[in-house]
Amino acid sequence: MPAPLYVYGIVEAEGPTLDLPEGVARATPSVHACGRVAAIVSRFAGGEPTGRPTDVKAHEQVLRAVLEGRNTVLPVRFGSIYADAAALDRELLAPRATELERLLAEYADAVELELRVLYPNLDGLLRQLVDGDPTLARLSRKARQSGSYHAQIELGEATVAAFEQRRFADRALVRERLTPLVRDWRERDELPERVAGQFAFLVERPRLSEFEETAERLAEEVHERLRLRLLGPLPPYNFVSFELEPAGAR
Amino acid sequence: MSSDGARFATRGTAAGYLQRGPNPSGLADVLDLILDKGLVIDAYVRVSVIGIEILTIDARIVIASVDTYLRFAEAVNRLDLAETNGKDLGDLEEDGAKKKVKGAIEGAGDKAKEKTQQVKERVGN
Repeated sequence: MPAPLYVYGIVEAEGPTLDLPEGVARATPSVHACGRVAAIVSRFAGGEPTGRPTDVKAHEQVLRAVLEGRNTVLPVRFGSIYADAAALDRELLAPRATELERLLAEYADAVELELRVLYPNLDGLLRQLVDGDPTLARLSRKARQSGSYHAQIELGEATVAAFEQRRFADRALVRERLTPLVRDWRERDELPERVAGQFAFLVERPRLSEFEETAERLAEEVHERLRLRLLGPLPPYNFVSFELEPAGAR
Repeated sequence: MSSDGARFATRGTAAGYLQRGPNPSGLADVLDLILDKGLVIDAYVRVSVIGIEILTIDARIVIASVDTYLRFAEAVNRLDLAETNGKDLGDLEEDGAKKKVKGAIEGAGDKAKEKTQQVKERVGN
C-alpha cells in the first residue's frame, strides 16, 4: 500500500515535541525518526503531484514552526517526496545519518536572518542624485532643452551610473556594520531597482540580540533614504545548499 | 525591549525603523527561500510548482542597456514636470497582486516592460 511521504526538513530524533501547523496538501506533519536523526514529514495523498501557492506557504510555515521548537532544522527543498517511510530510511536517513548529524550540530547554534534594504522613494533618490551632481544637472537641462535621442541616452547613462554608485555605497555601509557580527553571510548580486541590497546572515544565537539591535540602530540612522526589513529567524536556507547524492549511486 | 527574554525579538522597536517580519509576508518571499534553497535529497518524485505567477514582483534589474538609460532619463525629465504625488512606490513585500503605483521610473513604456520580462526569465526569478 503506497504511503508517500512529503519531507520538509531534518532534525535530531531527540527533542521536545513539536506543535506543527497544517502542511502540504493539508496533511498534518509529524516527526519520523530513524536512529539519531529524523525527518519532518507528512502524508502525501495519491494523485498527480501538484504544487500550489498554499502548499508553498505551508512548507515554509511548517519549517518555521519546527525552528521555534528545536535549535535548528535543515530545510529540504520544496517538493521532495519519498515512496514511503521505508524508502526514506533506506535512502536518506540511514545512509546519511552521520553527515546529517554533523550538519545539525553545525547549525545548532545559528539561525538565518534575511535583510532587505530598500529605496522607499526612488523618485526622491533620483532628485537627490541630480541635485547633488553638477554633471547630471547639466545633462538633465540639456536633455530637456534639446529633446534629442542622444541627449536622453547621455542623461540616462549618467543617471544609471550615479544610481549604481549610490547603491554600491549603501550596500557597503550595511555590509560594514553587520557582517562583523555574524558567522557567515551571503549577498545577492543582481538586484531590482528598488532594492539597495539583499543579504542572508547566519547569526549565532547568543549574538542574535546584538545583531538585531545593531540593525535597528542602522535602520534609524539611514531611515531618511533607506528602509530596512529583517526576516527571521529562519532555518539556514541560504547556507545549507547542496545535494546529497543517493546512497550507492556513483 | 524584548519581553521575558523571548528567543525572538519583538516586532518593531520604540523607534520602529527596522521593519520586522518573522513571517515572510508575501509569496514572493517564500518562493525566494524555499524553491531553490535547502537540501536537495534524492526523492521519489519532485513536486513541481504550478499556478504561481512569478511575474508578480516589480523586479526590473538595472542593467546597462539602452532601454534602461531611456527609462532613467525619462524619470529624471519627469522630476521637473510634476511633483511626485506622495504615494509610496511600494516594495518587494507586496505580492504584486496590487498594481504598483506608478512613479517616474515606473511610468515606462512597453519596451521596458518587455525587457523586464526577458530579464526575469534570464535570471530565473
